[in-house]
Amino acid sequence: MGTFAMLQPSDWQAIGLTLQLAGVTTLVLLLLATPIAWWLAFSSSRWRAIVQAIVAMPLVLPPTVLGFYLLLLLSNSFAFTFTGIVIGSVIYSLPFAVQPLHESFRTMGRRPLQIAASLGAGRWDQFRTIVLPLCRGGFVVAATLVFAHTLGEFGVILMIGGSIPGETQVLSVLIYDHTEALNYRAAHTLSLGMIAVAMLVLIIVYGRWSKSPLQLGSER
Amino acid sequence: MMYRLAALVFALLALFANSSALAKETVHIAAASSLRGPLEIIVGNFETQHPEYEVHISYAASGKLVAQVQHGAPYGLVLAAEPDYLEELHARQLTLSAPQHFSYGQLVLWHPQQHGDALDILRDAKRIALAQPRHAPYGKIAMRYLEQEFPDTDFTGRLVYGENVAQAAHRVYAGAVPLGFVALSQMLQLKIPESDYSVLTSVEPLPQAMALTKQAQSGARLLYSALLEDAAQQVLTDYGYIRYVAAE
Repeated sequence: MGTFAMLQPSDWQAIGLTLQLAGVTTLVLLLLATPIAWWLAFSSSRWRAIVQAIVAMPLVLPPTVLGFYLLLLLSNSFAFTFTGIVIGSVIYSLPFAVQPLHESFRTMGRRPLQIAASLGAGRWDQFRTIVLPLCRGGFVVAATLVFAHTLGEFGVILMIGGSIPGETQVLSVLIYDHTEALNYRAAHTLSLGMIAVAMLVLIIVYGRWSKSPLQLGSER
Repeated sequence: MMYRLAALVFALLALFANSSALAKETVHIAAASSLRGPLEIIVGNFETQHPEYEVHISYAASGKLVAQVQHGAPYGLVLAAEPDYLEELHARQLTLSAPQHFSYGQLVLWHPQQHGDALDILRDAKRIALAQPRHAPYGKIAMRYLEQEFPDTDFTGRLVYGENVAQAAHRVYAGAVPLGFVALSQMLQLKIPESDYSVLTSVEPLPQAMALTKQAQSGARLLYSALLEDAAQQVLTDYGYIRYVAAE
């Protein structure tokens, strides 16, 4: 704890900004990824494979490709702003939200919904009382993975956000800046903090992942 | 679990949204990586004298900063390690005036692991760190120096490029590369003993130049004037910069 007392206000600013970015990205992605994952899980359209490929693209593409096109796209609008790096993060982490939800919707299947519908439950009712509880594990894993992945983002943010303190200088970028300034002590403190957080998050994720889908659904 | 997580995220967001809403006017400026040492002091003094401003500095290679401005980065003032990139901005009408020189920076060879003549050390060097010549002024003059002093030697394969001069220095500092072309200001900032580096005077010093951009507010303008005043000029000289003398 003593080492963290040595952090400068600019370090805390970056920590706050990073949490804010990860939080906003997680909320936006849960809203955006749910309908996409739903469609992927239940549609029989021939476009499914193509949509699935597009969603998985950020896993394969180097951050430079995303960063390059996003910079051109957002140039003189959202480039170098907080909104800009939120847009970048949402695209970059899209597969981390869609894939666990897709998996969890598929495991649930149509059956529970058909039963609910036959009992007269409306769409929103079905979602709230059937999908949310049954697929809670999927939502938690998606949210945790997106949050964690955004904490670790670097290349895209550096390209479309630069390194503007209080606006786009998130932790990963600040650590890079500290190493350039040869400020190794600050770089160590922040890096060790990130390692601890990453470890914690991954333990939470794997702790849940190892349970079977049925247990995930029925736990209270 | 979901609700608790969401509540926690919201609480954090609210906390940080409030804490960042300070009354001070934020001044975003961009500076060449080599200027970090003196600029931290100059800006620190500026903020003491003008407590109504909070200056945020982004450091990168001069060429990168200029590219960022072209894409709409919010810097009111750009300090570059050479005037060319700013001329480019000026030609695109993104600055308020032609680049203003404010001092001259010198190239050094940092060779902490061996002492002696820079030319001898370079001749036998296996790896040499330098900044990427395409967008970093100190990398550009390092290449010019090598071509000038060793016209018949091909250094390709021995050169290790950093994104900017701070990255080049970082490689040498960490011991990953035995020697590197860096800025004199960095040696003075790190208090490196004089025997560990050689000032390369056979290449022209780099005119450090600045320009206000279209986004410049009062804070950026004040800082621009402050950089030409005696106090700031003294700090720059302390960091090995050659003083700027206004042409009559």
